[in-house]
Amino acid sequence: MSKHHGLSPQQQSVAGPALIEAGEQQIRQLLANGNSRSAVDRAKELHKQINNAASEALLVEAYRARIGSLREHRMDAEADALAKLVLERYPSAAKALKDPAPGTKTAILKLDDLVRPLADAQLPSEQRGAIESELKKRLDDPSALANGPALPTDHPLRLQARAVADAFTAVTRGPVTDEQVELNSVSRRSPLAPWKALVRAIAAFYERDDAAAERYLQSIDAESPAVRAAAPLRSAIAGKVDPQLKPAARSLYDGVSGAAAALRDALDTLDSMLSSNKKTKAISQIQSVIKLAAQAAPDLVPRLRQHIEIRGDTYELDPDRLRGALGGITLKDAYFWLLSARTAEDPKKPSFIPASCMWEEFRKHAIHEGWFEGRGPEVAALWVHMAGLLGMEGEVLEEARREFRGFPGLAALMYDDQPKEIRAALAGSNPADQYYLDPEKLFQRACAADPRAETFQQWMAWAAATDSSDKGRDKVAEAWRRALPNDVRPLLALTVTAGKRDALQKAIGFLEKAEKLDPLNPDVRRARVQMLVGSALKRLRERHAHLALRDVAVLEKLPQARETACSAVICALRYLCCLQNRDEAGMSEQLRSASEALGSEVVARCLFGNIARLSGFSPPKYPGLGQLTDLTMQPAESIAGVVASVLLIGDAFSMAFPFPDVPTDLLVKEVRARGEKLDNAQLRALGEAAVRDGEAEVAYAVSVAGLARGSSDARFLLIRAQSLPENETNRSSECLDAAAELARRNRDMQLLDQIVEERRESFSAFATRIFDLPDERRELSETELNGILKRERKAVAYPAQKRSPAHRKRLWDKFSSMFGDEDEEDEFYGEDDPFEGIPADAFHAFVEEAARAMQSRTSGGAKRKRGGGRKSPF
Amino acid sequence: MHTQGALDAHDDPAEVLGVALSASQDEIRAAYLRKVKEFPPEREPAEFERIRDAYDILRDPHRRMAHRMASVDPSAPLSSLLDGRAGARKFVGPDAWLAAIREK
Repeated sequence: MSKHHGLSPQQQSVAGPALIEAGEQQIRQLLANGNSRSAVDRAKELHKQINNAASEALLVEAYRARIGSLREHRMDAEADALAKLVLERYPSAAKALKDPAPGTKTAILKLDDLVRPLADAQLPSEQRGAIESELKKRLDDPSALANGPALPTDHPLRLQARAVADAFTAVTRGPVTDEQVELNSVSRRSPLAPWKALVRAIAAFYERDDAAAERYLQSIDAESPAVRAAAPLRSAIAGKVDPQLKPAARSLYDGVSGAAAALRDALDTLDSMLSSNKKTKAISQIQSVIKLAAQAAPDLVPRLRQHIEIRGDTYELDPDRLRGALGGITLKDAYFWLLSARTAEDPKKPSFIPASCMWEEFRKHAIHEGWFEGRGPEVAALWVHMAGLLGMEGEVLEEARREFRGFPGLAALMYDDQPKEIRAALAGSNPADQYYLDPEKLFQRACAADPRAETFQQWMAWAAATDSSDKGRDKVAEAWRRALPNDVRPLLALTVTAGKRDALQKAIGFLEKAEKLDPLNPDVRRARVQMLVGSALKRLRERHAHLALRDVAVLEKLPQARETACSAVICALRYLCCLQNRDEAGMSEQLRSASEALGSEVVARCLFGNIARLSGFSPPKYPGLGQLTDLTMQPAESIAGVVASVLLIGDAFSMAFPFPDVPTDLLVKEVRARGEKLDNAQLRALGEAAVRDGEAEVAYAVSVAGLARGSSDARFLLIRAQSLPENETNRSSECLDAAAELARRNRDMQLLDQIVEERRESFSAFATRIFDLPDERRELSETELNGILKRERKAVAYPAQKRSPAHRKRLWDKFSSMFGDEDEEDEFYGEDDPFEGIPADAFHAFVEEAARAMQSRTSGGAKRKRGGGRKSPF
Repeated sequence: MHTQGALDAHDDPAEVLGVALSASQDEIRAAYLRKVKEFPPEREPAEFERIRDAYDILRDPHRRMAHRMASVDPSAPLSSLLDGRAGARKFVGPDAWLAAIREK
């Protein structure tokens, strides 16, 4: 370069254009590489040689880049000084320097400018690498490189670009051969490698080799523009549009997905019309959807008809117009009934009875279509599921069954237009047999199809919940025993029920059979103890102390007698025998032994008092035992602790001790002050006994202590729900929802059963039934659940339940205005007042609940049908 | 395309193992062993987990039934019926692709 230094004007005029072109290339390349300092040096040198307007412009451009670079590096003072110097020397630079400094080192370069230096075979490898790296980031169309003038036609990069551009065009226009997309000339290091991967990904996509397409997409360099094709391509592979796609990408997705994309849009539109209750538009949209589906996915049309018919029914479209729009019959096969039954299981539906009918249709078709056998564990699981649904209906079920008598069945209503193969599934079924509306018959069938203990247990739980006598349980236990003769559980159940009706010999017989089968089973061992204690209590009630002592002697020989609670109960039984025999020394001895075993004389006295009461002794006969408030306690003892310990022992021996005769205020105070010293089991026993005996404020205080621990929230939420006053039905219902949600998560089925039972008996359920309102089963979101827990933890004071008569009158006015009958109030307060004799609080709660329920139905539930499902499912 | 191992309620375990809905226990086991050979846990842990889940569901008739009963979601958008379907893939020429690539 220095050889050009000091050229004469003549020489300059000849060599200028060539020199300036070569210099410009070098300077631009230096700028492209971010080396603005060298670019300025080279431009200065060139301007010194050429000294014309072009060289000056090039020098100014280099300075401009340099100033920009200085500013990028926060060297503003230096940049300002340099700018000032440049302006002094080159006034023409004023305009150029006013323009913003170049943002990136390559911003001023065009693609051709960028790649031009690559034509020089002598280009140092570092510069070549930098250019290729930049090219990879900027190349958004290989044909631009292939057709550009910067590289010679035989340049390897240009040849590669040509090959890639041709392959890209071919692969996006139609099927290609492997050779067309091989592109062996493009190495992994080539700036065209991302494009090669894209071409191969597209080829694999059209060949439906989606795994290969994904592999190629993953290999595309993330800095290459080619990677922008990956998102729409992945969406097309998944057959599901990505809502993040930009317009051109979405357009590409729609294009390659063909009519499927249009169908998807049409289906989304239909959903939106249905949910916004645009029924007429929805009917016409259904016609379009079916037409589109016939083009895009003809095999999907039958399934679409099934979904649309069921959804249309849910949104109450006119059935005739709906069927007309569907343009053909909807097959009522197993899938249709599966979908129908699942739709009918929506918790917002007023009844699950239709769901059970639909599951029955599903069963017939599924067996016919070979989904499962007619007898076996799968059909048994279905029957248990149906029984579970019906079990939630309560008293409504009986009414529905009465209404269903004479109902010809779904076959007569739904299969008129069905093809022969669908109707064939109904062969052999008897429409008069409505077993699918009878949980007991469903359980019977399930146990016959697949006799397993879990099913018998569920049947037993249902029998216990629906029949207060033990006949139903005994029937289940007998069936269980016949089906699974080696299972001790039915024998234990029979033992318990026989014991409850004082058939001790029978109970002993069942227990002995259980002991023969499994003598080490802890339930069997516990049952033996409970049996002997029960027998001794019965002898004591009959005042046969000598017979009671015989039971106690047998009891003492059992290994369980060494356990603290058992030894204390034995002492109590012996004490009562001594009491009957007026053996005061013996009484003292037993009391002392029990006190030692329990570590507390107060607990022992309280336990003895309770057992004495169960044995039929009147309080004067056992002075100083039962009255807790008269007993002297140790400093570490509390009334709440003593009561809880005694209740726990009672629970362990199935002895339902009454709640102690302690003032409620005192016990509440005790629980608040010392509840934290009780363990969960003690708290639970205390709370459950309080609920059982109507000590709501004590139960509430227990729930406060329990919820504060956070370890058994579900259990204490149930106690909270049970303890709330009747005017807190909303809150109580939410506590039950939250308890059920937690129990489900913990898989605590026993607790879940208790919650279902509680809900069935709750005041809310009562109001729901008499007003024919939808039930309130609902699942909670995480936020709702946490909200309820937080609120209940905070609510430590028992809620007030008394309201003024004026408030009661206001509620009644609200309630009666919802009925819209002004005369009703007079009728109501007339001679036949149906609420006469109902306590004011209960009446108040009833009115409030009714008003709330009516309000919720009139304001929100547009889609809830008033009693539609309860009157008749169809 | 599945990237997670666990089988969700809408996946068909029979399809995962490649057996018929009414396959016997022996057929299910044979299909499971075949799939495990194809997707060993050390090489394809996510796919293996799906296969294992599918096998666990299919070999227990009660779980199989429960899964089947929950396999349809009546509240899902109707367009979800198209998810995962191998619809026709149309050729659109290079311009649509280049437009998406140039879109920043």
